[in-house]
Amino acid sequence: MPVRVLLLALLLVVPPPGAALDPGSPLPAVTLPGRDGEPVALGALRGKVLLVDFWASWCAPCRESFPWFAQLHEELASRGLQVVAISLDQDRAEAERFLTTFPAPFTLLFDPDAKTGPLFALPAMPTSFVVGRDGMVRTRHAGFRERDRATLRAEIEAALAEPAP
Amino acid sequence: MTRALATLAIAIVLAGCAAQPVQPWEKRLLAQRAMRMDGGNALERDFARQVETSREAARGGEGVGGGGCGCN
Repeated sequence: MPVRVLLLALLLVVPPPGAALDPGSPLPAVTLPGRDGEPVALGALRGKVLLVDFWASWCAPCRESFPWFAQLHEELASRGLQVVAISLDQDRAEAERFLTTFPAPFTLLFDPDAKTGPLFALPAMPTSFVVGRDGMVRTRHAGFRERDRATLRAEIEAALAEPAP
Repeated sequence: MTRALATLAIAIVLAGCAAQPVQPWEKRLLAQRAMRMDGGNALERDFARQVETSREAARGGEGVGGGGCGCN
């Protein structure tokens, strides 16, 4: 009996692995408020290539990624790219302060309760997903490094080149 | 009976170690400069290092480069 109880206790000690949102899986259906408070459903953006980025004002690499996302938005929005940055800041004021320093001309959604964190099984901050026109996740990037720019751009270009479903 | 109770107690205590790790999106406070090991204050760090190396007679004995051999 004691052995069984100990094994049970060991089971409790080892945390269960979270289900990762791998490339090829559909984008979870989430609806979050935008900057003006109007709810935006990710599912309603189907037909566009999405760059879904999870960020927070305290995340240092986000300071690098935001100006680049803005540039990407300028260049590729006309071809069907929509950058969706989801803020996981608990305090909206902190997010807004970040946004005055790093202006974001793309879609901004706010998730102060971080409900999307476990839903997307975010491995790091920031994490970005490239989503195809069919609503399927193409690739996932944990963090944002210098070399991610070329890979992300190539992946987005490839997704943009795919025919609409 | 006592043994079973003791085992149960151990099991319950061990289960306390099952705390979930901090998730990446929960690191708002942990990401702050003040949470660094050296406090994130360069002046304070340099001052503390100066005092420590003087007191320990170990100037140049920290980190790499300038090991006191006169070769660099």
